[in-house]
Amino acid sequence: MKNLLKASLAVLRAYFTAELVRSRGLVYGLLSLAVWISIFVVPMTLFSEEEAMEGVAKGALVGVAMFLAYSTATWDWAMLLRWLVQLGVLEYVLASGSSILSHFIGTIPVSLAWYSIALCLVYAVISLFVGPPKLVLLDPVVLAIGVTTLLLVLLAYSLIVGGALLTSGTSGPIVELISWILPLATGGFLPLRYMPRQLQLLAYLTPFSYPAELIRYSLGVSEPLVDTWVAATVGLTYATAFLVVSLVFLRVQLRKVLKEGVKSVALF
Amino acid sequence: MRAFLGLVKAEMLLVYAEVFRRKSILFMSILWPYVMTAFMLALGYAAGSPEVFLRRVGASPVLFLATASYVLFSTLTVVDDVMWRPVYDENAGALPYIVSSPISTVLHYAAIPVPRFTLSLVLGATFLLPVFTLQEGLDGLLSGLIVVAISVVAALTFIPVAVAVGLGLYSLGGESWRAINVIRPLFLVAMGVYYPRWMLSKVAYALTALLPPANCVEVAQRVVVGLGKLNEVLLPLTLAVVLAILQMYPMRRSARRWEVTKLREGVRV
Repeated sequence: MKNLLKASLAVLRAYFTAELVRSRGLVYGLLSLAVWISIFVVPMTLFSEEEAMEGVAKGALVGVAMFLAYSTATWDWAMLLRWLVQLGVLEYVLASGSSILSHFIGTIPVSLAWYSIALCLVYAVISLFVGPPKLVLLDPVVLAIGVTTLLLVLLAYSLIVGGALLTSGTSGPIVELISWILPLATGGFLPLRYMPRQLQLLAYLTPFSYPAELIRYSLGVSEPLVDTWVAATVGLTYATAFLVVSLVFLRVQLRKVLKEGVKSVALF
Repeated sequence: MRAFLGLVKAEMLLVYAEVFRRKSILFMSILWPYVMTAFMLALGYAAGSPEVFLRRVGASPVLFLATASYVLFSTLTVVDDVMWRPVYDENAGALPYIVSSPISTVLHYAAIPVPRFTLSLVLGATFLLPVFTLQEGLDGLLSGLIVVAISVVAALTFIPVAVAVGLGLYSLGGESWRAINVIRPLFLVAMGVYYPRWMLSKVAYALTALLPPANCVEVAQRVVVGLGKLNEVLLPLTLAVVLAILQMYPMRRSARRWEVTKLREGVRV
């Protein structure tokens, strides 16, 4: 445990220096994000009347916040393993006997800092193009449960995608597609009540829908389809089980890499 | 011309070998415009109603956003292929060989987007034509074919500016790829892919007209909306072609500057 924390701290220091101090990655990343968000948010105004813009702004902010969380898990955490392969670092990490989890743990604080700043920027972009989103904190306990559940689910998701990337050498576009479909199909972007019944059922079969519904409810955006406390209990249990399964999955994939070697990464 | 065709053949072999070896990429490419259209429609329907969209834009949101997603994909392939290739070649260790080879950098970069561009024509058949035909019957099929043809012009006229900006930035060194990550979506904003340019202010409209594919996208959208009078279609298309020809000069300058920089400073391996 002590070694894991020590390794994680070294990774954190390396990422902090590389991404926030030595490079302008943060600035460029935020600029790019602002432009992408405006590409998707502005057309929404073509669908709504002037008087409905307040609700649109609130919904857009929470939807984008959820999408950003998914993106962070996909591109910062899961693709981290692919990046380690590309840099030729993964073999050294494995051979050193250090846990690969140190890379995930070390990256999380940098990702959270980036996420917080990005969210402020998204707020500014939505305020500019749609109107200022006015969120109300209805239930802080449910919000805390929702955020915790979301973190557990996203960490588990990134371990599964990262592990699969390691052993399959799967290319970027597949991950890009997953990162779009998943939040769309499981209620990340939109409240489940706006989705067809079959999709609602499908979304509740995955662990992804519960945190999104809980966060939306606690911020006064929309009510969940099931009782709030049922959603909280099932969501938290499901997220924990998902994380355990993902840890086992990653361990199996790493053993496979030790036996078969690291796969080559694709052109795209 | 023979040199260019040789380069196109080499690029075709490289890209199509990858696409057929990894069929998941082909599957993803076919699915991608459907996902983007569904995504934009879902956002729009949650924010309001299709009737409001029809009243404000003048076209069904399904057709308008399907056109936008298709144009987005077909033009983005050009930008991505051209702008990211130096990074891919560097990662693959091929850049020293490419830089030291006697082939013309301009011809090479003009050939790079061709394979994935032809792949995007396949998408016209798997995505745009079925959607238009289902929505509007035979008239829709015709409109779909016109949009696919316009997207060809849009992608071709995009090559000079993409090479000029991409290689121009790489010549500066440092973290140019990060700047490209910002410029890439800015191109989409300027093209008015998801928000019609004719709804922008006059100043923004005039500024964005300097980007050749923006004029083609406008023509495609006007065809869908039914605002496509002959002069409203021909003038922007001519403007796009003329601008693309003019932008060949900065394209050549950027390509040459990048090549000289790499030859002088060496390539990271």
